[in-house]
Amino acid sequence: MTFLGFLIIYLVVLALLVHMGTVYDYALKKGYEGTLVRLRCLIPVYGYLYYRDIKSLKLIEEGELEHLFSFEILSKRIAFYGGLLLLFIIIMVPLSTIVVLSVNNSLLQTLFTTFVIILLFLVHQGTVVDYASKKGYIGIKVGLIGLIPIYGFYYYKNLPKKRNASKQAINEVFKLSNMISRIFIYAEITLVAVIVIVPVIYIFGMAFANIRTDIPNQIWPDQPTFEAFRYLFNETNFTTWYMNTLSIALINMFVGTFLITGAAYVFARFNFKGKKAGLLTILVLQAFPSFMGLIAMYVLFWKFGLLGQPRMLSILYIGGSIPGNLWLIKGFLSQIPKDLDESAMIDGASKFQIFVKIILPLSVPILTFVAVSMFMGPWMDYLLPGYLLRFSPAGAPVDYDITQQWTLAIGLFRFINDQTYRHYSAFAAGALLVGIPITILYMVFQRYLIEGIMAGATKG
Amino acid sequence: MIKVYLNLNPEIKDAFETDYNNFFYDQAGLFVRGYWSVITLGIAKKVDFTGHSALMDAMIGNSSSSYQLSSQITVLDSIPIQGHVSLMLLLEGLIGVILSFVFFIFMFWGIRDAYQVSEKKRLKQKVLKDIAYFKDVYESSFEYIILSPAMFVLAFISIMPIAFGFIIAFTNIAGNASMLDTFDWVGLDNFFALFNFTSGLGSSFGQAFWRVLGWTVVWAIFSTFTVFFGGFFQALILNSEHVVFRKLWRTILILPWAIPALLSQMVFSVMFNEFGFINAFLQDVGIYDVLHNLGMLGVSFDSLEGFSRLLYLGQDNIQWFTNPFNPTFVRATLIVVNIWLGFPYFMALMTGVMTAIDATLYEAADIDGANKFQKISLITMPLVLYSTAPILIMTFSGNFNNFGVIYFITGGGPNAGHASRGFAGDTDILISWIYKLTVDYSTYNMASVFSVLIFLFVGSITAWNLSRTRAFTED
Repeated sequence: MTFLGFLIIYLVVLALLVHMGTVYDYALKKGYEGTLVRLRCLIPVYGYLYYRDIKSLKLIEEGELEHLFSFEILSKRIAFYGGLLLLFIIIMVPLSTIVVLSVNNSLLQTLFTTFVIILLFLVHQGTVVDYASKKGYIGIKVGLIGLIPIYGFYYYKNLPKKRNASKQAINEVFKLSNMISRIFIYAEITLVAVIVIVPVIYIFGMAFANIRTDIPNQIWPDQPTFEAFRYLFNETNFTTWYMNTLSIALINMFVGTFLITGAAYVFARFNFKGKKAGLLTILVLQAFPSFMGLIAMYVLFWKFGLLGQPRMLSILYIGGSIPGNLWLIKGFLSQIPKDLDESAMIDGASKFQIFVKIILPLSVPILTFVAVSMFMGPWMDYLLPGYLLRFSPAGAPVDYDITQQWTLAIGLFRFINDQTYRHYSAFAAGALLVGIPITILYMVFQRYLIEGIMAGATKG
Repeated sequence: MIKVYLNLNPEIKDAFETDYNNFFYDQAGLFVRGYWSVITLGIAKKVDFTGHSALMDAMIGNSSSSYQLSSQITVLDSIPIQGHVSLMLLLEGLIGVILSFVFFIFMFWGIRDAYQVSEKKRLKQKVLKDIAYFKDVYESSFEYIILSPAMFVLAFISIMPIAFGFIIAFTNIAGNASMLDTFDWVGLDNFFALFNFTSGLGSSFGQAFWRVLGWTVVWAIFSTFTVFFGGFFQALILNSEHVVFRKLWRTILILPWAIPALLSQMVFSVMFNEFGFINAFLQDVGIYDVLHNLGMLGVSFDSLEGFSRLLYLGQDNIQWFTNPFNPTFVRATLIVVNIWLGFPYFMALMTGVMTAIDATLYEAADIDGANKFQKISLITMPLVLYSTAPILIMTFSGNFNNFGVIYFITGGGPNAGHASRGFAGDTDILISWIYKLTVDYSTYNMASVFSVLIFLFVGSITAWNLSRTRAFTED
């Protein structure tokens, strides 16, 4: 029943809005505009009748007015206002819920007030920066001064204009529509930033708490300690896991990049029998799910007695990374002009010399990208080690400690997933130790990494 | 004991020997044995030998005899005799087959080379000697020499395991015991089981497969589009002229991309736990009371009916990822959480594209009287979509196989691990299901069948995508 009521209200408001929009456009065609006209248009039926009978200020054709009531225009208008109204409801319902709740709930009240205050700061800053830029002041300094409430505005109000801007243009900064969009933009961006940051703070909080088996449900512990770090280093094989993963990653990076570069050079530069077939095979291999050979790999390890030796996993990583990266490097090498090779050939360089002295130095960017991605691969891979490293090696003693053959991904996952090893704070502490270097690396090189991925997708 | 028994009964011993003395298994070389094992998968089953038990009873007595020597010593009732291990045979066989191909190539090359040299001799041309000959070979087959290490690794680490994974889809290997026993070719039976819901494998895996496939497709579509449009929206907002300190905001918002996904997925699984931080927070700010009043929380599922069942969140706490009654809610949560993980990448990508758009386009639109909405939908949107379309497709096939989100956040649950449902939970996508089938439930044959199907699906998307790119059309 309530749902039906809401629907009726929604439709009535929608009809009012559509009516207003249509009549206002109608009035515009006749040459009337302004706030008063808009208000008059809001009155149903009367508004339309009023402007139908009024004398037109402009010369217009009859058809142009009729066109406003055509199905096409009308349906578009209904869809537009319908969407707008829906958006309004979607924003207003949680907002009003929060406002109502915060009357009784002190925590929510604090959070909500903090949010509004931050929002005011930012909107003020945005306005000041817009205002200052109209006057000809730009740069970081403006942004920082804009953060000081009220003073920031007066500071720039009293400064002389650096640029010739009309008063009207400057006043446009304070227009209602600009203010509203500023509020919306900053509200959205702040909210998203908070959502992004909360899990990050949470994992820091978890690391400095000392929680073994209870689910941590506070964002920051009451008494921060380093106990979890101590536990991690003294009572688990964390350092061994780190070394295992590091050595896998290093072997993978050096051997893998070396192998792939050679193969990619050949595929990019030479024509030989079976080239097309080889490329096609690699393409097909790329489409197989990576762990399809999991059982075969297990049998392979079993047969050759490699179970329980984490370093041996790098063989599998190298094999798995050949197809994708080969295409990537080959795509890059194909772009290096062949004239270079030919002129070197005329100068008497052998194929190997051309490769080492000309091709390699030119392809440093893509090789860096591939090397970094080969290095990063094993750090956070769970599929392979999760299966292959769960088996002890053949002939292991009874008291064999299976944890010593794990990698970081397994160890961390066991901390939150396995009853025997559960320790939430140790997980968070380990995650910080692994995650922070990687995150910084990604942040610093973000542009190259994103470009590299883009190149992989578009150039093959 | 068995030895004595077999000596007493030579005819049984003979039968045994003909069974187990297999020419191919014992005497054949690597290649012949390889082909034989791939074709037959081994013929000697693992057996529990019990024929000697009568003799044993006679010697040490059993529970009903008067002298109880059997109570003094323990003997196994039956002696397991290890037959052929199909898994091992298959692997060795494949290695043999692949190696034999390599040698075939060498053989043909040798025959051809010998023929050419003899032709040269016949025509009285100069024939290269030792070192000069090897130098010539090095120069003329430089490509193959450089390629060979990569190809070798590829053949044995990539092709062989995949071929292995591929062909066990046509066998009846399942269960831990089959790892040490023989299994047989069953042709396409495993595939037919997917369409036959009444018998055997089909009754659990057939239905489960279509359920999981449906959710996988829904998941791939929704997770890709939410992430794509979330990134687009955020990029639009970030590129708005009103934003001050754009670089700082961008750095904050790109954080989820830089944090290793595995870690953030695990953090989410803890955060959204039934007793975790999110629920504690919602309780503290009073949202719980609202939900209680709305009847979405704190009631039993059975008391609800119709539409309100879709809004059921849990009995005592909101069960974000464990709600067994309302999988739709769990799935929706998963898609929303995935936005956090995925939007920054698209945002970063699109802000790059947007800043590269020619500003004169917008000026021209201003002159033509376009409003903001039209500028976005008619200029920004098509240009961004055009340059990110290949990535969109890649993301789609990536999400189709997005193991981490499912496995680390929900573990496939709720309702995971029931044999009658093929062990698949409500949020299991194909890839996580296959992993669990392989690792936890040893149902290798069905796991392999699904892998083959995934390959067909993802492979065709990738091939279609790549066939339109420059790199492919050039070669």
